[in-house]
Amino acid sequence: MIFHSIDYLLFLPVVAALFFAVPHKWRWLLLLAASNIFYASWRIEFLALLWFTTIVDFVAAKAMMRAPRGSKERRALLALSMLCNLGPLAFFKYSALLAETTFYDVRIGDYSLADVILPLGISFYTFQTLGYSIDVYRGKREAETHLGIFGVYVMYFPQLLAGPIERPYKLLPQLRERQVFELRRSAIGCSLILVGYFKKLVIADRLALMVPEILATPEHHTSLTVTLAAAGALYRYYADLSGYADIAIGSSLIMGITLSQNFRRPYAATSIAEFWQRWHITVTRWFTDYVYIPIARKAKVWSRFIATVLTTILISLWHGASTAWFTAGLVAGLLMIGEAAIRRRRKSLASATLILGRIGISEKGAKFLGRNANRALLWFFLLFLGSIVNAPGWEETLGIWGKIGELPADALSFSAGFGVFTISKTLLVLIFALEIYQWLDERRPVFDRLEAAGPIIAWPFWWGVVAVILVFGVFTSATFLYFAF
Amino acid sequence: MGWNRLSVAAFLTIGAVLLGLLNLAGRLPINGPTEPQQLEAKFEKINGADAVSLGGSIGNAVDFNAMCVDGAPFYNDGQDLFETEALIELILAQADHPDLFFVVLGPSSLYHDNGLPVQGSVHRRRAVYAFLQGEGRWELIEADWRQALLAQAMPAMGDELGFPWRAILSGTIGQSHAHEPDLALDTVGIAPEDANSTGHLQARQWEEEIDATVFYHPEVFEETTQALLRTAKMIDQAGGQLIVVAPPNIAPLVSELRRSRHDLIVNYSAALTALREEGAIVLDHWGDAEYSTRYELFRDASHLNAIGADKLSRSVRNRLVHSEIVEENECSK
Repeated sequence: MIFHSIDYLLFLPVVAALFFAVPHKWRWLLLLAASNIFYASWRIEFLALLWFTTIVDFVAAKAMMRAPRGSKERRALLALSMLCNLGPLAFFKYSALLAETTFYDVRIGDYSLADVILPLGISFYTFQTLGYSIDVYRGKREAETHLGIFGVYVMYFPQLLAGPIERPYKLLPQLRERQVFELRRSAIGCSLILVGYFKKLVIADRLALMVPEILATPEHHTSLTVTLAAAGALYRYYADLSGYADIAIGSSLIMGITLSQNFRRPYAATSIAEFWQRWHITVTRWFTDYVYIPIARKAKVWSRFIATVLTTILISLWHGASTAWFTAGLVAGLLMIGEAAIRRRRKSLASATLILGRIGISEKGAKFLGRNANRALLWFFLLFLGSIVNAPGWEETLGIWGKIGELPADALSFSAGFGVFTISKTLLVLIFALEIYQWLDERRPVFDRLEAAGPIIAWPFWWGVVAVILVFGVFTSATFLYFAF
Repeated sequence: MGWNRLSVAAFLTIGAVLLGLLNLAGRLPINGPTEPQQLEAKFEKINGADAVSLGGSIGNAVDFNAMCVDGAPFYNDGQDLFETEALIELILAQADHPDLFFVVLGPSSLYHDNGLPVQGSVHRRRAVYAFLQGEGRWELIEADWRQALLAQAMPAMGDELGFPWRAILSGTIGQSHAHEPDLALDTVGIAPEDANSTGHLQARQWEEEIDATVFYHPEVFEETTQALLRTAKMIDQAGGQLIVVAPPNIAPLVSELRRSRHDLIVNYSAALTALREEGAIVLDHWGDAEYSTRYELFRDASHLNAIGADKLSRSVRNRLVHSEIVEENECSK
C-alpha cells in the first residue's frame, strides 16, 4: 500500500480507530494484522520472507540469551542471524548490479539475475532486525519474549517499507505501553502527514517531471538550467525521502507511537560530516554504530580512514545498487577525510577571521560569512556527487559537470547560456515556501506557532496547504524513491 | 486554540466547504470543455453513424473521411482496453448504434491499465468514469473503485484542476501561449536521421512503462486480452463487427522491440490470433514494411500523421470492400 493512495487514506483512520477501540492486550494483534494487510496488498508472496526474517531473529536472539557471552554458540547464532538477514538482502538487492557488471548471461530457464524483483522495504526491515540481533549478542538488551510484539516491531506498517529504522530500545517499550487517544497529538500527526504529502506530491513529483529529462540531455540546455536541474535532483531526493518519513512519523503519532526523526534540514549543513548527521539520520546512526565504530575503535592509524570510506560506501550502496552509487560513496568518504584534515588546521581558520576583522567585518559577521561559504562549498560537493547518481550514465555526468563549470563565465558575461532556464518558477516559489516552513519549524514547531495564533490563522493555513496540494500536486506517480532501496 | 469536539467539527466543516469548492472548480469548463465534456460531445455524434473508432491516441490512424465511411471517432489519449470495453458496452446500449467498431491496438496497448497510477494516466480513467457516470452507468471498470470514487469526490486534481485556472490567469495578464495549429503538427514527418533515436527512445519508454505496470499488475496482459475477447463477443451478439487495426510503427522501434522484448511481440501476436478466432477482422500493419521506413508518414515513432492515416485508412477500406464489409461507392474510387 502506498502512502499517497486512497487505500491508505481509508486504511489509516480505520486502523487508528480500531487501535483505540480494542483492549490494550490485543492491540499488538491488531497492529500485526494491519501491518500484514498493508504489506500483502503489494505482493503477498514476499510476506513469507518478512516472516522468515522475523522468526529467525526472534528465535536466534532468545537462544543467544541462554548461551554464555563470548561463547562459540552465541557467535554462531549471530552468524546465523546475519546470514538469514544479509543473504536475502544481497540476493534480492544486488542481483541486478551483478547482472549488469559481472554475470551478464546467468540464466535459469527464462529468468536472469536482472529479472529478480526487489521486495519492498527489505533494506529497512533487514537492518532493523539485524541491529536487534547484534544488540542482544552484545548484551545491550534482553531478547523480546513475545513473538507477536516482536513481529510488530519488525513489521509496524508506518515504518515497514521505508523506515525510519528504529532501535529496539525505542520502539519495543512503546509497543507495550498503554496508549491513550489525544486529539492534539493526532492533530500534530495529521499536520506532519500533510507536510509529507506537500513534499512528495508538490515538490518531489513535480521535480521528477522536469529534472530527469534535463539531466539526460544536458547538452540541449543552458548552464543555469542544468545547474538548477542538478540542484533540483538533489532536492527531489530530499523531498521524496523526507516526505515519506513525515507521513510515517505522523501516521504513527496518531496512535501515540513516536518514531525517530530521519531528516533535519540536511541542505542547511555546513560540512559533509554535518550533512550525514542531518540526512537519513537513522540509517547513518545504524552504520555508525555497527560499522564505523567497531572498525574505528581499532588502534591502528589507518582504521579511522578505512572506517570512514567503508561506511560511506556501504551507506551509498544501501541507497542504490549501482557502480555510480559506489563511486559516489567512495568519493564522499575521501572528501570527508579531506574535510576533517582541513578542520583540524584551526590556525588557518583563525587567521581568516583575523583578516576579515582587519577589513571591518565583525566576528559575528565573519562567522555568518564562514557558515555560508561552507554551505556553498557543501552544495558544490553535493552537486558534484549528485550528478554521478542522478545522471543516466557517465557521459551525461560529464556533460552536467561541464555545464556547471560554464556557469560562472556565463553569469559574468550575462550570455545566453545563463539567461534562459526552463524550471517552473511556481515550483521555485513552492520550494522557497517549504524552506521557510522548515526553518521556522526547526526553531519552534509551526504547529505550536499556529495554535498560539488561533483558529483564524491556523485553520486557513492548514486547509490552504490541502488546497495547494490538490492544485499543484502530481497525482500520477505510484512510488517513492525509497522503494528502490 | 482549544481542541474539543466542537472545534474539530468546525474545522472539518470549513474543510468540507473548501473541498466542495475545489470539486466544483474541477467541473467547470474554464479553459475549454473538461475531458468528460469532450467525451460527451464525441459520444453525441456516434448515434446514427455507421462506424466508431476506439482506442488510445493511436486511434488517429483510422480516418473515416479517407475511408469513405460515416464514422465517429471515440478514441482518446491513453484509453485502455478495459475502458474501451466499457465504452463499447455503453454504445451498444444505444438504440441506433453503429455496426462497425474499429479498435486500434498497438503492442503496448495490452499493457495499459489506467487504474494504476504508475502509468501516469489515472486521470484518464477518472475522466471516463465521470463521463460514464454522467450517462447513468455506475459499473466499475476492472474493479477499479478508487477512480470511480474520485470521479465524484474530486474529479480534477493537480494539473487538471490548476492548469485551466492558471491559463485563464496568464491570459488575463497577456501571457497566454499561442497553440500550434493541429494540422501543421499532423503533416510533419520524422526526419530520417532522427528515426533511430526516436525509435530507441520510444522503445525504452515503453519498456519502462510495461515493467512498472507488470510489477503492480502481473496479469495485465491476460486481462486486457480477455477484455478484448469479451468486447468481440459483445459486438457480435449485438449484430456488429469488430475490426481491429494494428497501425504501423517506424522500423527502428519495430526492430528494437523484436530484439529486446520478444515476449511482448509474442503476446501481441497471440492476442491478435485469439481475436481472429473470435470473429474479429484483424488488419495487422504493425511491422508493415510499406509504412515502417516511410518516416514522412509518422508524427512520432508510434503515431501516423494525417498523411499516414489517410494512406492506411484507404488500404483498410480496400480490405473491407474486398471482404464485403463495406460497399464500394463513388467517394472511394
